[in-house]
Amino acid sequence: MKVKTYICNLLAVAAVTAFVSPLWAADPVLMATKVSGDGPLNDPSASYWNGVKPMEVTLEPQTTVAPTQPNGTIDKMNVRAVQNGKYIGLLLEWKDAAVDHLMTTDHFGDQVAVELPVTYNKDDLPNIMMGESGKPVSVWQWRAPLQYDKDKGKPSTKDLYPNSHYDMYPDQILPAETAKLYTGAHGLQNPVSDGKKSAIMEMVAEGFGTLTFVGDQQLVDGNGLHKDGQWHVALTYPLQSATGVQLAKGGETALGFALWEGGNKDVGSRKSWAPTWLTLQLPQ
Amino acid sequence: MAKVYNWHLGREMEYPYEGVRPAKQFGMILDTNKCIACQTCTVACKTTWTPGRGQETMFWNNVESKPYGYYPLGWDVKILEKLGVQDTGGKVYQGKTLFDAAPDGERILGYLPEDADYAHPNIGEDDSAGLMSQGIHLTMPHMQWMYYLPRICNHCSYPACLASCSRNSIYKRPEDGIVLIDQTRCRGYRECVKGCPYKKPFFNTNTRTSEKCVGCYPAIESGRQTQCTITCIGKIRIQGFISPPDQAREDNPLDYVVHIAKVARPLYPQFGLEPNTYYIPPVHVPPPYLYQMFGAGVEQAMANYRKAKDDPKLLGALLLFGACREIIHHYKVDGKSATGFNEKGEELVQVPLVEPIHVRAAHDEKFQAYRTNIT
Repeated sequence: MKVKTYICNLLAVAAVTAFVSPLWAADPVLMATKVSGDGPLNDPSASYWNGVKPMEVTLEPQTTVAPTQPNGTIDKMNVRAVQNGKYIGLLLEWKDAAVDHLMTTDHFGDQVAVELPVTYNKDDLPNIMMGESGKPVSVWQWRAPLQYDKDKGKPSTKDLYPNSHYDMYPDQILPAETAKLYTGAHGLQNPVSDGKKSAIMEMVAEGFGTLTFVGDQQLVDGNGLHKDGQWHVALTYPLQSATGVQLAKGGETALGFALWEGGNKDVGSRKSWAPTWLTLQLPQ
Repeated sequence: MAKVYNWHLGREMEYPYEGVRPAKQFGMILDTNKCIACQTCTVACKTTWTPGRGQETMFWNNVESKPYGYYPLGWDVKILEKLGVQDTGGKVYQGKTLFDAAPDGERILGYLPEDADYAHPNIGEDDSAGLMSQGIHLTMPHMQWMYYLPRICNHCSYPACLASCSRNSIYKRPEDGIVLIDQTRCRGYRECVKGCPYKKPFFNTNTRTSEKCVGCYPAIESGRQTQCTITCIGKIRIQGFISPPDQAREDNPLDYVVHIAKVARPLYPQFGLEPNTYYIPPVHVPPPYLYQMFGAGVEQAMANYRKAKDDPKLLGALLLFGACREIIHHYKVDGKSATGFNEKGEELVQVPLVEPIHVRAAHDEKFQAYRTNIT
């Protein structure tokens, strides 16, 4: 009888504890190592990453919200953080033998993203799954196809289909302004249509289906590099800014991660992700 | 999931969003008996909307031969096979819709075509249902058959593309029911390409977004029918607005043909999308095949079509197909002609129910020439 009561009490305590703990509590801690200089930390092959200890982040297939990806192929990545007093830099690295950067109907691109609360409050973090109403998250997403555009120029139809032939395009026979009507999303400056400016998109979300590009307000920058069977992606963001995420305040924030393996047809919510917030500390 | 009423199924069904009908619903009727697959509609659409980079193999309007033509390859047989054999159950559909059949973790049952599936838009052209052995001669009914199926986006009442999009980039316009992809929000996830059973959203490799038939909305907004309709040389199409059956107007040619004369049927209604393009079934094709494609009621549609000459209102509506560029909102039939009117009640066009017959003398005295009268 006593044993039974004890177990009941234990369960009750566990239930109360679960109830009072923040649902999306941050768990492990990543330290941003101080490095010299005052420029953006956007180079994945730079020497400032040397000697910075990486933290391994475990990834799971996203199976909570439809459409799902139950068969994730990448289960971990390494994260490093540095800061130079002006900028923060994050280096994300994961093994991926095949580079997926050319997109056709059934070919998808490699991608990685970092998520942060727009306003950090340790005791009241947003829902890690795309934030929630009134508690927005900032998402910095790097895409391999956009990196290809930035490095080599946008692939033409001939690059994608070497044996294709097409008579003529509107931009070859019409004045530029008229031809623009036939360019669809490209003419509307949709950020996925051209990576010439940046291989990364800064976006804000307050729940599922609300992820929105910040446009000219973008502050994030960075680059991806495929070397030795691994992707190395550096993301950088100013520690202080008039708009965007306020990183310097409080000396810490929370990070979430998502990764898309193009070869596995990962896209949108079909991804692998880290289901708990990671605390990022920024020593002054 | 919300409960919505789908009149094609004769029952309620589950859909991810509340069912809100638009003020008017874009609709089209196509008479497959008149289509000759000249592809004028395809070219009109292509030159108007999709001549750009990344749209090389994209046809918002296409015409395929049935049973062996497909664009993209195998689009209908693939999804039919995935859905499996269903209990059609007569007037009320008893089987599963694509929403009912969604696997765990998916919003709808679908599949993503392979890139190569778009490589041969006119595959299977003119292939008939079987071989003709040597020495065979024509018998009635035809021993082999084929027909042409022109297709655009159906601007469905319950669009699968809209339901599939996890970014809320697709919307159905409240004023005319046209379904559009917001090209500034779309990120090219291709959930709509995967989810739409008719495979009418396409991935543009240049913009890296998905694109689809826009229902020629600038034309619709100025009271004009779509490019594919007004350029059709066979006058097989009429485009306008279709009402739900309980609000059918006898003086709307689309309502009359679909709801009152019951001559036109939706394409694959069992998928559960309530598509808004309707087909007058080809009367020479075996009914079991058409039953699968157009659902219960197809035999009645064929029988009613054969008797069109006895129903002046039906005859009048059919003769207004391709009769003018403007959208016909109302029509009336008197003893000799059918007249179409716009939304304001202004006359647009008048067509005779019976074309006048002129019989010429076999020998023309003036030109000293012999003439042959043809009908």
